[in-house]
Amino acid sequence: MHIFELRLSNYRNYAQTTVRLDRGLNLFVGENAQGKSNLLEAIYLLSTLRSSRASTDADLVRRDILDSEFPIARLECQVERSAGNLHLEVAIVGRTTDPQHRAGKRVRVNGLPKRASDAVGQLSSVLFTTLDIDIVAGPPLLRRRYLDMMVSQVDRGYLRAMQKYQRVVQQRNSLLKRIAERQASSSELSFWDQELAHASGTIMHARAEALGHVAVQAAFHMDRLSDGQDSVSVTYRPSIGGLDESDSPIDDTEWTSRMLRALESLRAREIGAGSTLAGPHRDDFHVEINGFSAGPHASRAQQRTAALALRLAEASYLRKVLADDPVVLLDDVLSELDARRRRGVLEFLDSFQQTLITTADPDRVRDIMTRAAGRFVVQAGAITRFEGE
Amino acid sequence: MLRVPEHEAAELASAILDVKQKIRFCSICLNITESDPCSFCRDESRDAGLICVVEQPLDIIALDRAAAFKGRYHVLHGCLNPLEGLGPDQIHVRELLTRVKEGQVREVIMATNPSLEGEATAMYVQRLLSPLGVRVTRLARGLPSGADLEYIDDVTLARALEGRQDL
Repeated sequence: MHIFELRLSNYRNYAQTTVRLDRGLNLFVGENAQGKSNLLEAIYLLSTLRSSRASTDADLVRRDILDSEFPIARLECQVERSAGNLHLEVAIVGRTTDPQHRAGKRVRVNGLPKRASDAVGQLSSVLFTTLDIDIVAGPPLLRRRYLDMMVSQVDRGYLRAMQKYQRVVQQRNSLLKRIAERQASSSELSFWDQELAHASGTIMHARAEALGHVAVQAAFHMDRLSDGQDSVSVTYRPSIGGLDESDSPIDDTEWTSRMLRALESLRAREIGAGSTLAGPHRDDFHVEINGFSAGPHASRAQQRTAALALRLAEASYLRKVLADDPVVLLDDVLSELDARRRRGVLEFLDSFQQTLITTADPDRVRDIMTRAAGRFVVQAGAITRFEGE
Repeated sequence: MLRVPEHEAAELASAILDVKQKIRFCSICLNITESDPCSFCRDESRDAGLICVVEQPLDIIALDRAAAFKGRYHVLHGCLNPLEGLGPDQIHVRELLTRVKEGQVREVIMATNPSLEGEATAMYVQRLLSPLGVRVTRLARGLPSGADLEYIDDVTLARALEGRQDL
């Protein structure tokens, strides 16, 4: 798929702007703090209905109008997809004093109002940022987020299961606490155990499948980008354990019953702790570089390449499941790579319908300039196309 | 309040007092009522073998407005919600168990809300009552009448597909 028009109004530092994008490579050049990252964040937000950076919706509304009567940011795009064209609109209402107008997001898909969760993945995208290195070297939370944002774009059932799971965990944790205080009996757990295990089955099955694909693709890209010097392996580590190398792939019912068995054996400890000790909220996946755990043993450069390989693997996962290309967004990641790795990334991305790349340093990436179909200057919240040098 | 005529203020005051003095819970179904048992439990034309279980008294008004149900009711006054500190002892499940044990009841219809907590309550009651040999059913979930398919959210559509019926 590819975006042919994007409109932003009162979003971050953009007052009002319309960009017509090209198929192929679109390059955005600008000094720091002019709005390059905001532009890619906007597309990522249209795709996932979540910001890659902001903590509250009010952060997304242009500051000048935040105290006005209608503090509303609008994002809108027109997309050509193999599954039919898409007109996607998101309105973000910042803080409000009028109880008639709740703060939050309003979404329209081809003119029809939708719940935000029903609009996730209508536009599919992969976002590369300089923080991606933390997927490899950071805490498990970031690896779970990598998985969640990838899978929920293509699997509506996964997103639903995640939402239900979070609610069940909350209810179940307070029930466990009440049992510990002898205000409830452990017989009341059975419904919540069932619901927890059911949602877990869906989530863990989808994660295992996605990681199966990611592992193969990431290994391929790592080998290619490092010219055969480094290898990466990715392995799912569900919190309930029990995933052996010898295991043939298991289905969601099998995951559900494994989860139930795990809950059974953890019963006393869970009541003691007053919280749910196993399940998707404690999952992780291991990343090994050249056979050693990537966090402590690899160099920054190796970690960075592995992170890049994981994002490329994400792009090819989405392409496989959708039978359409996701829009690829690279936020300032190419200027930190050497020329060979940069070429390796670009050669792979050539096979995607549309890629958007930002850079503050066009002289370092002249090779991209010559490849780009569309070239733009971003300055103080204005985007202008330029031809020639 | 200062501008309303005195008799209106007096009416309001006595209405509030009436709620305190006259409204009580029906000793059978726990609906709110002025006379005990309530009008539903006294109505002999209603099938005593059929009990519809709801979370709140207002739910009875909604169900009765639909005029499709001719049985009796039971009000739990809540649903299982550990976060709010509501367990089986905090809602009126025991009274329901007693009614079913008296033997007349053929079927219990769980009309708790289609939320996670409402489902938890329905499952709990089902487990509690099934050893007594009574039939326990659950309200169907699906598409609202007169709706347009393209406006229906995904969760509702998925449920409606799961609950499809032969024509």
